Amino acid sequence: MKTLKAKINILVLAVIGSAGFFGFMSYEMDRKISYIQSLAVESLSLRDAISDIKPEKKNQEVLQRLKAIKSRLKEPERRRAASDLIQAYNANNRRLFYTRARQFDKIERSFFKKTQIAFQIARKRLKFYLFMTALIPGFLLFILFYYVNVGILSPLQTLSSRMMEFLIDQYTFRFSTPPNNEIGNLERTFNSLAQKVLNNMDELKALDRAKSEFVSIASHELRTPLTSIKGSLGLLSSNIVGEMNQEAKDMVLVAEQETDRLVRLINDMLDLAKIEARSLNLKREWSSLRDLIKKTSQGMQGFASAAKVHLQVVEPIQELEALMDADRVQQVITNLISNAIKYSPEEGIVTIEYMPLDEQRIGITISDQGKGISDENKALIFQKFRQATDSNNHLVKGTGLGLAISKALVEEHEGEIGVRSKLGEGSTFYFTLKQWRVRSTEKDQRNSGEAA
Amino acid sequence: MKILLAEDDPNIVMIAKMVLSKVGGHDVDVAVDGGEALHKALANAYDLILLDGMMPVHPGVEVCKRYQEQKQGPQAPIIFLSAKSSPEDISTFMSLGAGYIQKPFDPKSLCSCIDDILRQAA
Ligand SMILES: Nc1ncnc2c1ncn2[C@@H]1O[C@H](COP(=O)(O)OP(=O)(O)O)[C@@H](O)[C@H]1O
Ligand SMILES: [Mg+2]
Repeated sequence: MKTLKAKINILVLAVIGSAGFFGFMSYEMDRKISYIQSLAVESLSLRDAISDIKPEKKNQEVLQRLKAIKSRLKEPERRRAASDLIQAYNANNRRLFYTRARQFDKIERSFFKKTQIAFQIARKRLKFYLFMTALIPGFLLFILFYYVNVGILSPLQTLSSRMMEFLIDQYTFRFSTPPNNEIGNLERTFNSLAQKVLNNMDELKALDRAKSEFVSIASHELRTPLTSIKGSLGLLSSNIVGEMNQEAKDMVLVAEQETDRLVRLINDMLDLAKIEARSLNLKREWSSLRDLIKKTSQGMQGFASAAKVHLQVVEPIQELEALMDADRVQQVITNLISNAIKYSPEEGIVTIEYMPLDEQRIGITISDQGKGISDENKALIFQKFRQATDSNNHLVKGTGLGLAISKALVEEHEGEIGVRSKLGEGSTFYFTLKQWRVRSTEKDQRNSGEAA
Repeated sequence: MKILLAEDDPNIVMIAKMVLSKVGGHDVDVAVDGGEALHKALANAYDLILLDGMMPVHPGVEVCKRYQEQKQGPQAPIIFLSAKSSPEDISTFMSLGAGYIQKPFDPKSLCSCIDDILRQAA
């Protein structure tokens, strides 16, 4: 497998190697040029020195100089010319010396010409090497750059955007043909991960289906016999099938009330099962709190009157809206009001109040004048089937699930729920919703209504 | 009123029949499964059809759909008398133009419930 790593390593080595090689060659050429130049300069100075020598007076010092010149020369031709010159000098032959000096000068001149030619060639070579020092590593760097970009960076970019696609597009995307390199490995790993996620999701979905199937079957199986029981008791208590004596009537009334409680219990349990399975699917919309609370408290009015409890609503002047699933929030408020009524003394007042807490959150409180809740019970009562106090009136018996359901519903709205209470001084249940705003459409609608 | 009551549970049939005839003074015809219910509903003219949600042969929703497709002439209003209570189920009932009474129903108020639904539909 040709890996990207191998390719990139080879390219990097080639860049370093070629830069080193051509750099070294340029350096060598430069040295050679200096050497050639020094040869040329020396040759010129030799010619000068020779032309200065006057052979008339023989002089030991001059002889020494000539010997020194000879020893410096390497080329046999030049050496020979020099030793010929020394010989003529030693022979004290003036004419011969001049002839030999001319000869020497001629040879030196041709040597100088050679150095000039060599100099030109060397300079051309130096230029070439310098050019290559720039060109070859540059070219290789370009290829490296190309590999890093085309082979790594853009595939990585594609990979990450494809992963996003996988997330957004309900887990469908898979790579079809991963290339045979590290990026390909990454894509293959991603494919198997995706497969795993899909398998897990299938399992979860099957589990979810099984759960909701269970809930719906359980609800049917429980409600069918209850229909018969409730029906029979109803027929008995309404004297449709005949008159009963008072004791029998009382018995039937107990049975009816307990049946109703059982029905509520089943409804609450199914509700809670659904909330816990997260199959609630809140439909959150902006809706008016004033309308919702008005509707809810009106709905509870009958129950309040029967318990001889007064309902009172305190609301802000402005009409406020909250982002919520109104049906579910109504369920919460109904639960809290029904508790407040249940646990209120006769002629007690139940107050429903709501107001913004800050820029975002809005709080809804339901207060009563009942006997309150002890500190240790405050946390317990929000749990399933936990009941702390006996209800004051026995109009409706509780199931112990109302607050658990309310808590689940409020938390599903990302809000908080709680209670402030002192024993003997009543209780205030509160919950918050995450977003509120002043209803703006009211005015606009009226204006456009007038305009129309 | 002439009512078709489609319900597979014999106890509920007994109770509902008694309530409808004794309290409401209605004339009640009974079908014990979805097949019989569809057959009777198509063959006779009723003023109201009460359908159980879950029945053998055809579930209530299926009976309702087929009835509305196949019935010639005027069609009787339909009310589901069902133990199902999920929002999905209720919206299915509503989308079929049918009414809905949840089980367990209160026998004392069943007839007035039916009257309310029929009045609202009219
Ligand atoms: N307003 C209240 N005043 C006093 N106690 C309350 C109040 N609301 C709830 N409780 C206590 O919390 C318990 C749990 O409440 P809840 O979950 O609604 O169940 P229940 O069906 O019993 O009302 C109640 O049984 C009661 O003891
Ligand atoms: Mg309660």
